Amino acid sequence: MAHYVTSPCVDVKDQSCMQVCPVECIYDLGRNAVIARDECIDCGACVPACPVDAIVHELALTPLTRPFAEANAARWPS
Amino acid sequence: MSVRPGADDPRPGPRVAVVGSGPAGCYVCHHLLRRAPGSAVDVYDALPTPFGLLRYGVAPDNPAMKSVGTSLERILGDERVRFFGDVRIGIDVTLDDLLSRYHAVVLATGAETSRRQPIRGDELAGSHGAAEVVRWYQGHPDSAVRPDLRRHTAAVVIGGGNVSVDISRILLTSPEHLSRTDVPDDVLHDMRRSRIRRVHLVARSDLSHLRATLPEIAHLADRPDLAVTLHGDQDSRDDATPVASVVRDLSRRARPHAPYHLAIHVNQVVRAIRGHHAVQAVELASTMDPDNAGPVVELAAGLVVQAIGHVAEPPADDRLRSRDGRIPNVQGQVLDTAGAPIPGLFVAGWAKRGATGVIGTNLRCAAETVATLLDRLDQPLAPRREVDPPKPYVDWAGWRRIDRYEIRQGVRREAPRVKQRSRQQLRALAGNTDDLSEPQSTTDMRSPHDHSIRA
Repeated sequence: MAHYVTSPCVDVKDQSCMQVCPVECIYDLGRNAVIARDECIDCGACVPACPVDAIVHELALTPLTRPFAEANAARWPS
Repeated sequence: MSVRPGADDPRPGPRVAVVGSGPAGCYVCHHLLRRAPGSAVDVYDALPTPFGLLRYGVAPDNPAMKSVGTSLERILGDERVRFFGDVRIGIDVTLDDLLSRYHAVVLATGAETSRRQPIRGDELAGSHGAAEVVRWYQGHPDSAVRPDLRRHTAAVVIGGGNVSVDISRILLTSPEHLSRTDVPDDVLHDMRRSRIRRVHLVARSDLSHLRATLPEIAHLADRPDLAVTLHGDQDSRDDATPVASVVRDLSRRARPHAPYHLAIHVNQVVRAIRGHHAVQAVELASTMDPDNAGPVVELAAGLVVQAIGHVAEPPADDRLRSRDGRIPNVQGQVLDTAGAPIPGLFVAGWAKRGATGVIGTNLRCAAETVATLLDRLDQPLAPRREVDPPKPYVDWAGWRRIDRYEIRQGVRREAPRVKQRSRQQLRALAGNTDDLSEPQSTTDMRSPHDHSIRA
């Protein structure tokens, strides 16, 4: 499992998540951040750190949020 | 680096003592060395081994989380950092000693004491606090309790947070699975003989207010040998959180042949623990029935664990008292019992915030404490005399010897390592390379430590 960045991050990219990630697996993808799925350890520290609630655990993805989340994650090589 | 007692230290930056080498203490080092590269940091730990709750808190079946150890190791392995393991502040060294030898002292001592609620029957054998049980299965050197897993097929774990879920899940893990984790041999021995197949997790809150996090619940979803059921619950239309819907989905998953069963009871409190000398059952009452008018639900069980939170205990010092489970502070500056700042004394991690938040939370928490610390330093820095550790301690090279030994012991179990429990053995492994060759009968599954732990 892993955590995903969803669309509210776009053009906000606050980057607080990067300051709390203990394995530094959150990267800058231009207009928004991305979590490297194969590096994420699922600690969840980034979830409350995000001011726009953009980071979501895989099990909390909805039909509305999943398409962006998966497409975004796929843009990062793993 | 060797210690030169009495000599003035020639290094230019602040000399800082960090008490506690868990994630919070390590992240204090990390930020200090980044913001003040000339710093010299001495990290003290009451245990012979570093990493605190990463080693003794993160559940053994969560190897991904344990991988944070790689980055913590890099921090403590920095040449500007020294490790003094097996040194207790307030006992072996006083806090005043530290304050006089360093420009600043940071307490990163965590929150180690289990909260206990007065429940009728709590004094019965088989009733434990969470920390006791966690210390047992984590192989903590100071573990004083060895839970009896053979008395009954069911156990009750009170609390709806991550620790409660961890304890429940570990009690319901097969010895085959556990043998591939880092648990000590004596734990594996006990789990092979455990009769526990069902754990009742009893939470006061409703499903949408469980304190457990989604990643924690996700670990339950990863277990095909575990059936989950839900009791005392509200209407599913009231589910307001991802945790609530995932737990409900789990409970709808048909697992008729699963050997292990986790029963999650929400909106319930344990009203009494019953038994003669030892736990035999608990009585549940609904939180929605304050007058106890409804029928009493009774669960048979041989083990009860209270996992309802932890509180910080500061090192022995007249000026320090914990309040609301943490050491009173403003942005990491420690306050005395009268509310005045104690010069040079800071706090980070659970000791600062209370027992809440995950490993990464400590990164930002430590950054705040380090900013406060650097802001309060008197410039120019007064010279400080070198510390004089009071007894043999475990240094970084000693930990590396323990580390290599434990990793080698893991090979026979296909485990990342096998933790060694006893303080004596950890000391021997750290200090005496001659003792490295099989100090005790390690191929024997009956643990050499069996006799040192009170049953």
